[in-house]
Parts: sequence; structure tokens; C-alpha cells
Amino acid sequence: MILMAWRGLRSRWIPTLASLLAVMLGAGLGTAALLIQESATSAAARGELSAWHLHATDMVVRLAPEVRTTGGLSHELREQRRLSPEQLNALNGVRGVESVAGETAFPAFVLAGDRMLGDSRTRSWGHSWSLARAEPANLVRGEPPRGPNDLAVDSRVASEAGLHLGETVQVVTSGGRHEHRLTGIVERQGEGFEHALFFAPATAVRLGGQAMVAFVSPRPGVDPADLAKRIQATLPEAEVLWGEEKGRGLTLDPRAQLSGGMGQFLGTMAAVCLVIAAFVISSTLSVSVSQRRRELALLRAVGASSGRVRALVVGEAVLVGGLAGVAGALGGVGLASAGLRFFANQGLIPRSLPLTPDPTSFLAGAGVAVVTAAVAGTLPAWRASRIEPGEALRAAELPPRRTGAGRRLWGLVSLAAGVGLLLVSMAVAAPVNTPRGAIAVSTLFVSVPFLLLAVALLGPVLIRGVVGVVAGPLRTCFGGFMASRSVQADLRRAAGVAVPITVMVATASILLFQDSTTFVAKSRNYGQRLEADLVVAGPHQVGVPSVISDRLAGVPGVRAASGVVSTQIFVVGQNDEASYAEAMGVSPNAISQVLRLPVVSGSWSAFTEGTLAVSQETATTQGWSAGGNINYRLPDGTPATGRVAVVYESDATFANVLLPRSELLPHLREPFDTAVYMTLASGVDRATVERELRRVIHPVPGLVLTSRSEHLEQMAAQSTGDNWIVSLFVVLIGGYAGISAINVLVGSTNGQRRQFALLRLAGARRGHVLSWVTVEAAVSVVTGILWGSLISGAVMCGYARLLTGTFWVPLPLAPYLLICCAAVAVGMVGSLVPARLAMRARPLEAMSTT
Amino acid sequence: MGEGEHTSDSTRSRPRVTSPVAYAHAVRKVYGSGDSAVVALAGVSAAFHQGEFTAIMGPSGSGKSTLLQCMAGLDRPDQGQVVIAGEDVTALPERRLTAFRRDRLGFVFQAFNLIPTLTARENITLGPRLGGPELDERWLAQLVHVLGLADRLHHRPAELSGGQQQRVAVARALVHRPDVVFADEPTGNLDSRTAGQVLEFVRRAVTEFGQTVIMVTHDPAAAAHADRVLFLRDGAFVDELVSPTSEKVLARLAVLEGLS
Repeated sequence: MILMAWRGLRSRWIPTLASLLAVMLGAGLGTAALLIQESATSAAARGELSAWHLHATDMVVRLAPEVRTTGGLSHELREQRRLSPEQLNALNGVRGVESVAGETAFPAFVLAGDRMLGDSRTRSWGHSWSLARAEPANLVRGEPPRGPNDLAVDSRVASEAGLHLGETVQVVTSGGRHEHRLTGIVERQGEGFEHALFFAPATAVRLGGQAMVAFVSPRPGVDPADLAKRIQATLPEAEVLWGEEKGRGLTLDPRAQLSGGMGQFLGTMAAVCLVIAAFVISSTLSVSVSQRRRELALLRAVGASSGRVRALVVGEAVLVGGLAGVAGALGGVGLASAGLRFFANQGLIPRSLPLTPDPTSFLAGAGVAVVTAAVAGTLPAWRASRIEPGEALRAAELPPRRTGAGRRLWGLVSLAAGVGLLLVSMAVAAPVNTPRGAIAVSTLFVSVPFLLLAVALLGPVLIRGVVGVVAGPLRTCFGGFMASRSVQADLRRAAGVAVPITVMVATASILLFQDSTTFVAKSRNYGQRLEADLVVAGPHQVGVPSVISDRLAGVPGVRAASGVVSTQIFVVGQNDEASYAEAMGVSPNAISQVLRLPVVSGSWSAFTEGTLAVSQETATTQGWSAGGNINYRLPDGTPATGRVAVVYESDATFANVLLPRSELLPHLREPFDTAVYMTLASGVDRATVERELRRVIHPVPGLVLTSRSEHLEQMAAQSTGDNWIVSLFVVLIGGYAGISAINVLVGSTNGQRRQFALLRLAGARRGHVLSWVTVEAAVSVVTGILWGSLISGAVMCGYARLLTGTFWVPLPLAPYLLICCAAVAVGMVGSLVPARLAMRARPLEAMSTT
Repeated sequence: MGEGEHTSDSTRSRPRVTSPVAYAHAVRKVYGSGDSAVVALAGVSAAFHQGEFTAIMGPSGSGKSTLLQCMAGLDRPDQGQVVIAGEDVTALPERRLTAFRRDRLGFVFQAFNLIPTLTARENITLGPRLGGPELDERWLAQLVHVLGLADRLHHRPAELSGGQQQRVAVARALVHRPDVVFADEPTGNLDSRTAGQVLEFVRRAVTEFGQTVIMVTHDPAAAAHADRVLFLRDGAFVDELVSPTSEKVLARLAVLEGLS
């Protein structure tokens, strides 16, 4: 059977090749996704995401970066938990401990002239000198920093900024700009993905807060395992790392957490590819089965059971899946390593992330391809097995039968499922930034494969409707006449062409619209919310040192100023169910004057230290109300209690919880504001105030003061530049679906070779045949575009409603038209090229070879 | 070539008032090249007159189908000339040739060759649709009536019997009153009774409507419906039989086989 399947594939190698490619890409992306995920996980476990290896210390102690609920579930924290001075003292008192040194890391940038060294790609951190000793980063010149103004830097920083020993160096931290004296230059191993500035330990604590990790030196002869036990007995929450594990003690790059996200992104992409591959294999096999009816009937006539015919078709699919799966999974290894480099270059993951070869990812990638192919083969196989042996003996070419009732039934079932999911999502209709909203969004997008499946199954019925409408006008030209006849005679073939186009248009437009809808909704919501007259913003992903907002607030003529910093807090509900909440640190007295946040209950004047403001949606979900007390964990896990001062009304793209900045900032590794919003007092001279504000931000390069409208424009420009990754995705998926559609079209057009020859014998010119092929392709393509647009339109309306509360959807007209043009191009290439090739042979020869 | 003289003798032996509606002059066709070259037609000449039903017979590989295809402009000879209704078919460019076939010639093939997606009527009227001569509805009605297709016009080929399908093909070949109808084994796929009906109709088209028909066949019974039979062997005409009957044709064929 395998041999027969193999021969079958070889005899139709062009469509087979396209199926192979389709599955290969899916398997490759799947493998790459799993590999990247695995690499990120294992690199995180080995500490390779960190720029710090900590070879020269014996033990690293930190508080486990997670929160455990009383139910025992652990939740990863966004920030490293801090060790209090008492805890450090306790460590020092543990038997067998020789000495303890704390390390605090905080953003710190050296100024080289008007430029800040360090950006979103190469971060720049300040550290305690204890880290230099623990790493080791050895002094190559000068002295360690001892006094409050002393500073030692990495040799790379020194050479890049042109610093010399003894020189005064300008340093920017969250506390603004300071002057330090360069006392030492160090060198360390590693590739230098981060800039390092070293301060005296006391200075580091003053600038960066309490210790994040402690380096412990045991007394000589003390067994580290025993010591670790004793440390854990003293500090139950402590995590003691020694040996190889030390490497993961200090990971500062926030992108380390994103690596898994990249894997997820690729995983989504792989899933989409495999869904498309399933449709492609299914369509390709369907076309090939209807072309080979006579051959299959002959097989049945000479004694092959219907099960054997079914096995033959599924065997072909499995063979395609197996070959392409293995090849794709192999390619996936290369793809994963290229992907890591690419994402690292884009600044999305740490550059230190290595590729971990992992056989399970490989097997899973290949296995999924085989399973997908086998599943995709079942429908055509079932159809093939129903071919009657007698068909082999009939003289005429038989048009395939009408759509079966079973197929229609399943089509209606999946249509109902898809529409049902859409309606459920509409009924839930919670904002996307709440857990219920997240469910609504998932439900919404899960409806897409069901709707696509419904189109695939009901395709023949639907296309009959379309042809019924356009047949009249089509009949006026020969091409239209032949096309409408040919589509009506074999609805399945026409549907087989329309389905991949539908998949292409639907996936590409959903991806594209989703991105633009999200972005436009966010900008629109942001613009509607923002009431500030002036905005100060900092470099991308770096932000504004937190001290600046206080200074700006103090400028005469500024009525209210609030820096805002985004993070997550952790909320433990009444039933011990824990959830993250998007939180924002703000200046309590100013926030309601710079952002439009209508009060539902409570009052903004009650919003002070020790209180919180929560969104109406979150208040409803969590059962909170103004005046009530709630328990939560700050981003670094510190338990906190606060009274709900105000419940505000907001949209789905704004934070769920507002906290006073002063309470939040000490618990953040990077206490930099994303922006500072200001409103002016009435009657002041704007120019004078602006001049004064500029004087405040002048010491820190990269800070810009803009008006509200300028700021909104800049945000729009920034975000539109951000969606290259979505465009890449669209091009990949769209191109992939396009290739698949071409594949099906080529098969379908090749199946009509004999008819082309017949027509030419009857006196048709090539132009006649080509006009037929063109109109027929156009009918299928336009139908596909129509269905694809309907599906994506329905889903996007639902998505817009979840984001903004209205059904309003921004239509990115140009990209949408581009997708449509691509679909038309696919249709024309896939039909005209093979038709033209088919007519190279003389009609009589073409007929005899079929 | 000796056979060539024989052929010209035979055409002279049937004096006609009209000039030939179609003739082949020294048509030569070779497939392949070098050692593997196969001479399909070794310089064949023949003339066909208005209202004449000619059958071409010969053993397999004698070149009869090649001759038909060269005559009908479906294939181009390497040398020689084919003239139909005053047009040198061999000299026509491809586009004009296609139009010429559509407007001036009719075809009936062994494998019915109907477009499966079109109904019987649509298959018959394909030529006019393709820009050929305008459809003569009365003539169509007459054809359909004589061929017994009146109640099958709106059926697709798959819903028709073999004989009905071939009658549709015959109607399509005749509907534009072509100068010549070429038939290649038109009864090859039919049982003898159905074949007889189809041939009887072709015969009537010749006798009653003055149609010119050139038919390639290996069936003596089919050839018996023709006015004359030309025998082809190794790419050249070797014999001719006027007013054939099955028996006479069989006898000639036996002689031909004996020659080999």
C-alpha cells in the first residue's frame, strides 16, 4: 500500500511538492517554536540568560522570585524580591557563614557628552562593588569605589565614553543626574550584553534600594549543602544557589522573560501554518481523488476493498506528512537558531540566549505534521472509498456527485459552533484586560477555525449560490458561459479553489486587522483619556527618571503633574484564587487632572498614600467597593494592604489598579516613569512655563517636552513602527496560504487539460480557453475573498467591541486591498500558467495523454 | 512512387463534374529522426469531391490517422500540400487554421469528445458560441429531429448513452454545414446496432444534403456505408474500392494482409 501511495505521489509530483512544502513549513515552525521555548526554559534554569556568572562567590542567596498562595500554587513575580537589612543580618548570623555582601542593581547611565550610554538594546546597570568581587570583574586600573562619589566602570564603558581615571563622570539614575569620580576600571569575561557601573555598597543601596541577592562566603571547611540547609532554616523563603546554579542568581534583562513569549509567538504561527497545511492537504487530495475517480474505480473493480482505497489515500497523506515532517523538523533546527539571532537583533530576547538542541521538540514537530496530514486525508479518503467500481466501465466522464448530506450536516454543525462561539464571546463582552475578557477574546478567535471548516464543508453549496447570482451576466461572453457551466457541473472543484483563498484572506486580514484594531483602539482610548497639556517622555523602553516628575510638579504654573509607571500587582481573591492585575503607579493628587477617569464611586480626593483606585470592571469582578480594604502583593512580592479610595470608569486598554507612585517605586527594579503628564494652571504664560520645564529636564539627555497633540502623534508613529512583526507574520501566513491556493488551483486546472483540448478541437482559440479559465478562477477567488472578509469582519467586529465597547472597526484599506490583490494574483497565477502550459501540446496529443 | 501513380489512376477513373473540394498532394510526414525515424506518410496524394463519402482503411500503423489529422489541419505535414475549399491548409497560420477548422470543417472522433459540463444542445452549438458561423435554428431542428435527439437536448453527456453521445457529436460536426466532415473511427466505441444507426445518418447527410465526409475506420461494415474505400499501407495508398460492401472490403483487406 505504501508503495502504491508512493507511486501515486510521484505521478502527481507538482501538487505533491506543494503539499510537502506546506507541511514542511508548519513542521519547521512548530519545531522552531518548541526549540526556542525549550532553549529559553533551560537557559533560564542554567542562568545563561544572565550576563553575570558569579564564579568568584561560593553561594548566592535570594528570595525565591515567586508568590505562593495558601493553596500551594506558585506564581512567578515580575520583580526580584528584596532582602531587608534584618534578613542580611540573620544570614550573617548563620553558623558557618564567614561574610555576607548584598548586591543591588538599578538603571544607571554614564553620560558621554550629550549622549546617554545604554538603551533598550544594551541596558546599563549600576551595581554594588560586591558584584565585581563575586563575578569576578577584576580591576585593571585604579582603585575600587569606596567613597559615596566613587565609581568604577567596565572597560568597554570607559572606552566608549572616553573616560579617564580620576575624571568626573556624569551619571543618570532614577534620582536624576549625579557627579561621580572615576576611581577604577574593571574587566570581566563574557560578551558584554550589559554595561556595568560599580558603586560602593552603601552608595548602591542609597541609589538602588535594598539588596536583591546576597553573596555568602562560608568559613573554610563548611559543606555548602549543609550550610544551604541552615540558611533555609533561618530564612524559609530563601533560595540558596551554589555550583552551576549560581549563574541564574542575578538576571536583570527584562527580556529574559520574553524569550518564552517568542516561543509562544512562533508556536501560534506554527499552529496557524499546520491548520492551513491541513486544509491544503485535504484540498489537494480532494482534487486528486476527483481526477482519479476512474483509476480508483478500476482498483475497486479489480477487487480492492473500499477500506483499501481509503488506506491508499490516507497513506498518501501520511507519506506526505512523514517526509515533510522529518524534513521540516530538521529545517526547524536551523530556523530556531536563525530565529533566536533575529529576535535578539530586534531586541526582543537577550542576546545571550543559546540554542538548546532538544530531541523532543524535533519529534513533536515531525509528529504533529504526520497527524495533521493523516487527519486532513480522512475526508478525501472517505470520498474515494465511496467510488463505485462500475464507474471504471462507464464511457463518459462523470461529473462528481452532489454534496453529500453528511457533509452538509457537519458543515452546518461547525457553522453553528463558530457562530455560537462568536455569540458567546459577544455575550461575555468583558474588557480585554480582565480575566473574563481574556476568555471572551480566546472564544472569539477559536471561532475562526470552525467558521473556516464550515466554509470548507459547505463550500459547494455556498458557491452554487454565488454562481446562481452571477451566472446571468456571465453568460454574455464565452469565457463566462463556460465558467458558469463548469463551476455548476463540479461545485466541489470550484469550492476546493475558493477555500484556500478564504483561509488566506481570513487569516491575513484577521492578523492585520487585529493588530491595527488593537493599536487604533489603544491610541483612541489613550487620546480620549489624556487631558494633560504637556507631556515629558524619555528614550524608548528607558523612560523618565522618577525624580524628574516631582521636580516638574514643582515648577510654577504647573497645576498638576504625574509620572506614570506600569507594572503588575498580584491580587489574592477571597477564594484564594490569585490573579495578576495591570497596575499603574501615579501621583494620587494629580492623576485625575491629567487623565480623564470618571468616578463611579468614592472620590479622587480620598486617593492618598495607603489607598488604591480600581477600575469598575475589576471592582465588579473582585467584589471590591470604595471604602473596602484589600490585600495584595506589590510587584516584588511584598504584602500590602490598602483601602479602595475610588472606583473609576475606564476602557479595556487602561490599568485595572492605580497605586501611589511613592509606594510602588521602591519595589521596582527600574523606577523610571513611562511619561510625565502635566496640566497648566489657568492664566499662566505657556511659553514661560515650558522654558522652565525644559530647564528641569535638560540635565538628562533624551527627555523631550511635547504638547498633548505632539505626544499623541509621536505615540502613533512609534506604535505603527512596532508592528513589523505582525506584517512579517501576515506575509508568512498570507504567502503560505497563497502558495497552498496556487497548489490547489494548479491541480484543478491540470484536471481540465482534456476539456481544453476538446474545446480547441471544436475551434476554440487559446484566448477562448484562457478567458474561460480566467472567469472561472475569478469566480472562485472573488467568492473566497468574500467569505474570508465576512469571517474576518465578524471576528473583528467582536474584537473591537471587546476593546472599545463599540462595533466600530478601523478598516486598514490599503493593506486589505493588498491582501485582495494578492488573492487575485494567486488565482490568476494558479490557473492561467498551468492552462497556458497545458495548451502548449497539440490538442490531439493532449487528449491522448489524459 | 508506384502507389502514387495508382492513386492518380483511380481518381481519374471517377470523372466528376465538380473540382475536388479537398485534396492532398504528396503529403509526407516523418516522426522522430535518424535511426528511430518512422515514415508515417510517404508522399500521399488523394482528391475528395463534393458530396462524396470516402472511407480510409488500412492495417494499424498504415498512417490513416496521420493522414486524417494532416488533412484536417490538426497536424502539419513535413512536405506536401493539403487544400480544402481552395484554402491551403498547410500554409495557414495557427490562428487562421483554428478559425478555419471551426468554420469550415467538422469532426467526429472515436471517444465522443463532448464537453462534459455542457448539455447536448450546448455541445452542438459550441462552434457558433466560439465565434463561428451563425446558428441556423431550422437546420439544427432538422438535425436534432433526424438524429432522434429532440428529448435529450438538455442532458449532460454523462446522462446519455454512447450512441446518443456520438449522435450529439455528429450533430455538432454538421450544424455549421462544413465543407468536409472528418470522422476518426466514429463507431469504434459503439455496438454494431448503434454504430449502424450513426453511419446510416452520416450516409443520409451525404446523400440528402450533399455533405462531404472522410472517415478513417478499420471496420468493414462501417466502410460499406461509404461511396469508396481507399486502402493505405506503409504510408501510401495501395488500392481503391468503389461502391464497397462488407464482403468486398474484407476480401481486399485479406489481399492487403497477404501482401505483408
